[in-house]
Amino acid sequence: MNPSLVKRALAAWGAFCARPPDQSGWEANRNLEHYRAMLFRPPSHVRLCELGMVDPAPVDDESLVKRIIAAYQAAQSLDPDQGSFWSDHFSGRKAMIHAALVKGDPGEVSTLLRNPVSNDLFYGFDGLCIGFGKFSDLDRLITQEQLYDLMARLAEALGAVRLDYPENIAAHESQLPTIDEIAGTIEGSLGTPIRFPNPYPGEIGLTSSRGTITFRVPHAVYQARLLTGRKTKDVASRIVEVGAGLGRTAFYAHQLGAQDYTIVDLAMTNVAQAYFLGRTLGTDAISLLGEPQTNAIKIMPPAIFFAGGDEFDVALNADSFPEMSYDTAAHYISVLSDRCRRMISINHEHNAFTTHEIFATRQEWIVERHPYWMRKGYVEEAVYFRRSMEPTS
Amino acid sequence: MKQSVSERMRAAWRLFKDYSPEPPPEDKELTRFKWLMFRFEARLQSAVGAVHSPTEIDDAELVQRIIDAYRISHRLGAEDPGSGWSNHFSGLKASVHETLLAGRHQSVTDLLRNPDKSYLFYGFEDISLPHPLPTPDAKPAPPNAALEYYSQYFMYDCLVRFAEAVAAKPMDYPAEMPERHPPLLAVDDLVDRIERRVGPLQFPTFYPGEGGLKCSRGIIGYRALQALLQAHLVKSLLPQGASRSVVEIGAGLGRTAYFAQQLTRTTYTIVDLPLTGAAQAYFLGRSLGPDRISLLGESHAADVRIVPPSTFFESSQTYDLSLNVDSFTEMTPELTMRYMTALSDRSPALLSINHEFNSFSMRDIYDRHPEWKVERTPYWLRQGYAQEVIRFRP
Repeated sequence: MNPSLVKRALAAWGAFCARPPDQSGWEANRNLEHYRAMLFRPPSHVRLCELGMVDPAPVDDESLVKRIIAAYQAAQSLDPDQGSFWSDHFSGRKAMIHAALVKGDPGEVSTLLRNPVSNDLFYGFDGLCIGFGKFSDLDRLITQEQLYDLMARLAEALGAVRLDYPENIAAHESQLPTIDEIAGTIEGSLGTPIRFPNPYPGEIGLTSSRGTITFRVPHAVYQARLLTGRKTKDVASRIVEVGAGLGRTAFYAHQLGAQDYTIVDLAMTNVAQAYFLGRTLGTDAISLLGEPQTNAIKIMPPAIFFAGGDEFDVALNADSFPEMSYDTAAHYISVLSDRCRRMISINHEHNAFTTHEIFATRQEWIVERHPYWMRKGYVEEAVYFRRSMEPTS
Repeated sequence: MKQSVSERMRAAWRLFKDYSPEPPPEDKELTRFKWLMFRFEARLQSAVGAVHSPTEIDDAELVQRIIDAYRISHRLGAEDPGSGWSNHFSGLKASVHETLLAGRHQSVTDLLRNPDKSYLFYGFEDISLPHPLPTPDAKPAPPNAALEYYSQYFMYDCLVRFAEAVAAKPMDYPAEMPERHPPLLAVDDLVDRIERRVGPLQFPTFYPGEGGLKCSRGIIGYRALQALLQAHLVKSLLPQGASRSVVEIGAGLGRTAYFAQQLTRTTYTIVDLPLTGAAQAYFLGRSLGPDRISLLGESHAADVRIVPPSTFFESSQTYDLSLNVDSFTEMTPELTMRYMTALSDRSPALLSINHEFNSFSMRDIYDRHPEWKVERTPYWLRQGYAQEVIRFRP
């Protein structure tokens, strides 16, 4: 998306938001019913807050982009993508980005990385890709309801506010907080200032004084708190995340005090993670393939992780293992069981196998199974590989 | 004061008979009801059953033991003034109290056998006389029809959720459109799968009017499913070993104690108001057998002991796990804190399953104790409830 396209998109978004929505037929709309089934509270308990489109200032990212190109080219000498759903299904969509990275022109790569809505780099793990932003009136309502519901749920999950109680009528007649008020309670619970960085133009979310809040943000904050613990002294010293999306959980874990966080993902996704984290945390917060692994967040492809022997306190896999082949997921879990004390899995169970089926193959592992706080249909499982880390210890 | 789920179901019955997947938006009661379930679609696969003709049993000795224990508790002044239950329901349950205290055997037998004809169970079970104070526009609900609705939509949803909780089936994935969801399982198929995870199950049902999902093991009611999962959680939290003990503060009808005995061997102490203790004693005496319970004033060892709060506080007995479900946040904060102090001295951990709608939440209590370690997750089977494992000595 070049600057003129950004201006046009922003102008179109402004005009869209300025006119009243056409609500005819909404209540009978099957899509609305379907999406509302995923909310954690009735629509009557959701405040419709302002949506905004991100328009970030220009940046100098040349040195970061050169590092990303070098790391990607180094990864090509490896064979990191065996057996992955992502490499099999999405390689075609991402061929253009692969070609630009191999060619190594920083200007060309920078244009792609700065504007993910102009390409499909994020396809499969984040909303920003070709076609994003074409909202209908119904999409707008759904997005407003969903994001507010998620932020309220995050506040509930952290214990910052009381759980919504659908059994009591009075609960639905109480004053609904603004999105900034909710963010404030979350901040209070986390004990540290929270911000929602938006380096990408065209991103759409709830407008707040701390940045624009998009779908993945509340999930990432929750997962970061899960990894780092409720109290400062509980911060796990070494964290590994397999399949990390854009790296948002790493971002918030770093904000919450994590100083040794390893991301393992496909080389192409590593590119997106490196750019996002380099832009939001600073280039000296990340270490890429081929660089000294001295910075807080290490980003590496699977082959490097499997070849290494680093040990970790806790591993995270969110929305990823069931997207791989069974053998690939089982191999990851087996390696993690040798190199981690415990693991947190946050996954749905709609695909060909479940992570629980893999965990159940080893009787000596202790598995705690709960509904995932933040997304219906997802299970959060804590697996204790070593008895010294059992929850009752 | 909050209404129970079943009250809501019954009050909303007149809307349900016209239920369709796309309700008109003005049906606020119906809209609210959907948020109590874990899936929106009316995914029915169940037959509904109700117990109408209980078999004749010899409960004379059990009833006399309950009368004796109740009279002792009254003599000791064991009613608990700090509990919301005793305050709110003392008037409603006055005639039950008088019947038990008078001790006429046949009257007490009728009371205990037929909870649908009194307020004995009001507040903790779904079998009871309806509340005598109607809402302004309330109409009497046809009980059998309400039961049918309640069972089909709500209990089946709860049973499926239970199967998901114990990984007896994969979790439903609402992001997928309904036509791409896997086929629904029959009640017995679900119970078969659950049994493979938790062990053989029996669902005791002997009260007239008690309803639920029909299956080959009995009739599965909403409260039974809740209790079964709680017993499963208790079992998973207990340490390995032969001699294990549990204390439950506020135990409803005692169903969790019943299922805990099915799933694992444990000595189980119930602490509750004497009036509720009478209901528990009858249910557990009938379902487990009279020899397996011990009441106030009795000295024999038994798997389940039922005592009033005063007995609990006077004792120094320790337990491997404590449990509180839907109860601490209904008490005064002072009484809850008194229980928590005692439990933190006498038990390594508490499993709490409570809503957060009242004047204080469990978090308000444990936040005063940074030395306690807490795992807080959503409770599997009831929207709006937090499941918290509080480890007093991490």
